[in-house]
Amino acid sequence: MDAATWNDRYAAAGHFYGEAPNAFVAEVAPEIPAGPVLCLAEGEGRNAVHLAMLGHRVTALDQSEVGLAKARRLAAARGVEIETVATDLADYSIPVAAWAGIVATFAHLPPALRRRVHRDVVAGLQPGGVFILEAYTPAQLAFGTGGPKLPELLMTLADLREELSGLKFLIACELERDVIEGSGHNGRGAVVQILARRS
Amino acid sequence: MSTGKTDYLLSEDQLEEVALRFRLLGEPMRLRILQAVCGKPRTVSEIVTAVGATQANVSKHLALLAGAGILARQKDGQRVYYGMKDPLALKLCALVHKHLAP
Repeated sequence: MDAATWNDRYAAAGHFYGEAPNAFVAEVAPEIPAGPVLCLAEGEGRNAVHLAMLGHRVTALDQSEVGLAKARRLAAARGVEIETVATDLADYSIPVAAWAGIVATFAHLPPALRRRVHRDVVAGLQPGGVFILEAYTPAQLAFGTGGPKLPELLMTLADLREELSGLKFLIACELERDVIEGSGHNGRGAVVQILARRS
Repeated sequence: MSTGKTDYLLSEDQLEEVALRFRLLGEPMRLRILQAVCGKPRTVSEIVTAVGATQANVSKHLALLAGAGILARQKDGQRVYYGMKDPLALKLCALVHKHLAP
């Protein structure tokens, strides 16, 4: 989807995917070493704000300026600051060896772009830095509880192991779970979760 | 205890992995879940009943334990079973408990 579509979605009142951080991110966030964190496709800032509250300097990327404006407001309401960058990931170069953590929840990119971004994620982490990802797998198409309808935008654990070669996978699984996040994710879903560290 | 040998020294990365394993086990609800499945693989609803927590909470822990390779997840038709994959985890808990017991 393009920036205009996301701007429309995020222009509505409330937070489309809620204000609470993604449950998997919240669970494994303590594994991020001290240092700066980059949140990809961060939307309205629910993960970025949570990570800023844990003491990280957080940069939130999204193609929707409307979403990021809400992210900054959510941060202000929680008494923290975050940096926001409105950009399409296709036009963005992840700074190399710069991040203690990189986070991507439900960032469903076209495969060629996803592979490039994941290569950049590996290079973007500091030694010891971790990548946290949760996304829908192709099995999600049968559930219809959120996520894109195009199978090529969904990813398997096998895809991720290949695309993120160079990282050590510490937690990695495909599973079905109830994903209840705002009105955007609303029920049993098929997801892949990973926590992976750069040596 | 110490032999003074350095054969068993772990690298920084290995230490981080071991520390993560201990952090994953350092949560009473996760240990209850391990106890519930150590005899034989069980379904999520059986585990929920055994440990007395909400399904959402149990599912979250099961995902982490399976993702870290401590539990194995097996699908049998519509049912999903969780069983021990790394029995060392439970042995370790028993060992610690025995050591702490007066």
